[in-house]
Amino acid sequence: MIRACALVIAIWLAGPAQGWSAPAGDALRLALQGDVRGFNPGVNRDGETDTVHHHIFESLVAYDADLKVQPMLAQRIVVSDDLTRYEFHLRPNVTFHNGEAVTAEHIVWNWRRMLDPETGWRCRSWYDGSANQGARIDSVTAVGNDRIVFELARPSAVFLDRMANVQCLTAILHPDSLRPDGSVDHPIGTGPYRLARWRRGEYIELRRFDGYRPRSEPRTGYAGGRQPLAPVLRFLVVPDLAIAQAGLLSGDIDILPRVPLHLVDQMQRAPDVRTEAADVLYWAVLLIQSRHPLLRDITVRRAIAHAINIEQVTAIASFDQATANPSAVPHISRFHTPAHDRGIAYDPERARALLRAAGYDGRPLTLQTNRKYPFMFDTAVAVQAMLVAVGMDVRLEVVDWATQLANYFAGDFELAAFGYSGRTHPVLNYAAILGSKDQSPSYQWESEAALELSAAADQLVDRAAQARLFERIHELMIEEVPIIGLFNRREVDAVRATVVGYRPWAAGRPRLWGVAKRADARR
Amino acid sequence: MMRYVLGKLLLTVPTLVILSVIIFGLIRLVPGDPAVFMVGDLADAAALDEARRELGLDRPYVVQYFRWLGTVLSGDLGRSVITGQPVTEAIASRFPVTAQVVLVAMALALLAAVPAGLYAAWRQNTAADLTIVLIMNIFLSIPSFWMGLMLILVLGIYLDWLPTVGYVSVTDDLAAGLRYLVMPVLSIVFIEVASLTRMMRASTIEVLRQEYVTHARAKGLPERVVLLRHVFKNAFAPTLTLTGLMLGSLLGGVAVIETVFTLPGIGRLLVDSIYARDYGVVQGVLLFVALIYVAVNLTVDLLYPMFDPRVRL
Repeated sequence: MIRACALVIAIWLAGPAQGWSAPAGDALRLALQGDVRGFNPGVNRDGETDTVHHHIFESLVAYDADLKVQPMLAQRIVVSDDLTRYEFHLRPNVTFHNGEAVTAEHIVWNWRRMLDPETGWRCRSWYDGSANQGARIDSVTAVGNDRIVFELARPSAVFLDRMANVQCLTAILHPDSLRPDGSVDHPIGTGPYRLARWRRGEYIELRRFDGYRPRSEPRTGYAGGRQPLAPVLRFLVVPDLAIAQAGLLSGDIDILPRVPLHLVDQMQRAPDVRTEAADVLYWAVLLIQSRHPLLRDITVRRAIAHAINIEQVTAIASFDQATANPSAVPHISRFHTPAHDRGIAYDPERARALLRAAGYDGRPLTLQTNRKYPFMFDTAVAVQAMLVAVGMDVRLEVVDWATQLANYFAGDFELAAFGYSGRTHPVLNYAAILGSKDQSPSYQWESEAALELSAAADQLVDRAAQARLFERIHELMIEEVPIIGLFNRREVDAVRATVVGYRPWAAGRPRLWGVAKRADARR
Repeated sequence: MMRYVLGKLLLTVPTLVILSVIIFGLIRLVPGDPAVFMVGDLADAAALDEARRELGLDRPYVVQYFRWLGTVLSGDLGRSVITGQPVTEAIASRFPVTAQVVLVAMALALLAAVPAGLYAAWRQNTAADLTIVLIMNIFLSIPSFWMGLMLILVLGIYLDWLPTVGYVSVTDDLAAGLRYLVMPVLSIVFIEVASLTRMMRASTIEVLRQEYVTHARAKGLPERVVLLRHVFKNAFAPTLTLTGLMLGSLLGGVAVIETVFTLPGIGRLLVDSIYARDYGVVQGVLLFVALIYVAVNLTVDLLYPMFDPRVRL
C-alpha cells in the first residue's frame, strides 16, 4: 500500500509523461459519451471504441450506405458457388501507418491472431463454429503476396457480412502493434488516421496518415473513398449530454452525435448549428421472459402484444422521429418487405379477452428499464400505461444500465424495455435473439423452426429466397410472441455550421473522413 | 508528538483493513457484472464465462478478496477489469487534476471565508453581518451542478470568455490551464465558502464573548489587534477542523464538478468505474480515498496546537 502511494506521488511529482500541445485550430472535435477502452480491436470494445477504431483500422471489406458489403482493403473478392471458399485479392499500394506495405501474410497473421483463443477476440465464435449460427473457418492461407483464401467447413452466404460487421471489426493491424503480452497500445493500422495521443478520460487525438491512399469510389457508409480532409481529429470525452450541448453551442465541440430527441428542436433553433439525421439499424424492443410462470403462456404474451400500440409507443419514445417496426429485420434493410410491417394489431378488447381466457388474476409484473437511455425509459412508461389500461398490474423497475445489462444476460427480468445495436444482416439480427435459454439466458426466442430457417438463409445466395425465409421467420415471431419489436431508431447529430461533409448513416457510428472545417471556424 | 503520529499511523492499519473488507463487499453487493461490460453486447454465454474466468470472478469471494489484498500489500492496487490499466497509474494521472482544483478552491475559499466570518461576527446583527449571512445562505442553497451549469452558460456561452469542455493541466500550459480551472474552482469556492464563513462567524461570536477578549479591550488594545491576535487564533480552530473534513471529502473526488466541467479527476474515475462495475478501479480508488482522509485528518490534528494552545499532542 505504501509503495503504491509512493508510486502515485512520484508519478504526480514527475508530471505528465507527454507534454500537452494545443489542438490545431483546424482540429475537428467530436464529443464521445465515454472514453475508449483501448486499441485492441474487437477484444475490448464498446460503441465509442468502435467509432474511433474505424478511423484507424480497416478490414478486407466494409458496408456501404445501402448496407451492401464492398471491398475495402480487398480489390476483388471471388466466392465459390458452394459458398465455402472466399478469395480476396488485395488492393495494391496499401500501407500501414509505419509505411510497410500490406501483404497477404499480414492478413493471414491477423486472422490467425483473431481466431486464437488467447487473443480474447470477442467475435471468435462467429467464425470457429462454436456459435449457434456462424461460419466455421477451416483455413486462412496466403497465395502469393496479394491473395488470401478462406476455406469454410460449411457454406455461409453471410460470411462477408460478418466480416464487415460494424461492431465486430475484423481489423487488420501491423504485428508491431502488439506488446509482448499481446496487448495493443500503439496501434498501427491502415486507416486514414493514426493515433497521435490518448489522454485517458480527456480525449483521443488522431492525425491524418499522410501515406493513406483512399479508394477511388465516393464515400458510402464505411466503404468507398476515405478522404482524411481534417488534419487532426479530436474525440473529446464528455459524459454529460448537457455539457456536450453547451460545448457545441460555444464552439468547443464541432459534432455532437446522438442528440437526445427531446433536444432536437432546441438544437435546430440554435445559431451556427445544424442537425443531420439518419434512420439507423438500432432496434427497440420489449423483452418478455418466456420462462416466467405467467409469461410462458403464449395467450398472455399475445394479450400483451394486442395491448401495445407500437405506433404510439414509437411516437412517444422517439418524439415522432422513428419508424415503427415489429420485425427484427430493420426497416431500412433491403430484406425488409411489406410482410415485415405486419405485427400484432393493437386491440385492447382482444387483449382483455385473452387475459381472461388465460386466467390472469392480476398478478403483478415488473417492467425493467433505465434512465441512461431516455427512449427506453419513455418506452417503458408508455408500455406500462397500455398494459395497465387492459387490466394488467405492471410496475416499473428503474435500474441503472449496468444492472439491466447484467439482468439481460442472466435472463433476470419479467418484461424489459431494451434495444439491440444495429446488425447489418437479418441473419445476424436473428442470431442475437434465437437460441436456447439453457445455452445462454440472453436468447429470447427458443424456436427450433426459426433457428433452422435462419441457418438455411445463411446458405442461400439468392437474395429473394433469403428474403422469403426471413418473412417466414417473422410470421413465426408473430405467432409465438417471444419478443415485441417496436421501432428502429432515428439518430440526430448536431453539427456546427462550419463543418462540411458530415453525414450520419445507418450504422449509427460517426465517420469523420470526408469531413472538414471551414476556414472561418471560430475556434 | 512522534508517539502521537506513530500511534495514529498504526491505527490506520486496522482502519484500512476493515475498510478494504467493506469496499470489497459493497461493490459486489451492487447488481451488475463487470464481465458483461468487458465483452459488450455481442456476448454469448461462452464469452461471458471466459471473461469471468479471466477476471477471476468465478472464484469464491473469499479467494477473490485475499488475492486482491495480496496484490495491494505488494504495492499494486490492481488493474482495471475493463481497460487493463493499472489502478496506481489511473490514480496517478487523475488525482493531480482533482488536487489542483480542490487545493486552489479551498485556499481561495479560506481566504474569503475567514475575514468574512470574522467581520460578520465583529459586526454581529448589523447590516453588514446580515448581508454576509444572507449571501452565504444563498451560496449554501445552490447545488454545485447548477452553479456549474450557470457558470458555463454565462462565462462559457454568453460571454465566451472561458472554454466549456476539456481540460489542460497548469503543469503543461499555465495560461491555458488557468482558463480551464476558473469555472470548476469558482463552483467549489461558492459552495465551500458559505460553510466556512458560517463556521468562522459562529466560533468568532463565541470567542468574542470570552472574558479575555473583554480584558484585552479594557487594556485599550486596538480592535484590529484584539481580533487578529486574541480572537482569530482561538476562533479558527473549529474552522480548521471543518477545513480538514471538507478537504478530505473534496480530495476524494468532486464527481459532480468533474463531470460538469469534464475534468479527468479521481471522482469521475470512481463514478465511471462504478457505472461500469470496474471492481479493480473502484476498490483501488476507494482505498486511496480512505488513505487521503486519514492523511488529511492527521495533518489537521498536527496543526491544531498551533491555533489552540490548550491542545497538547
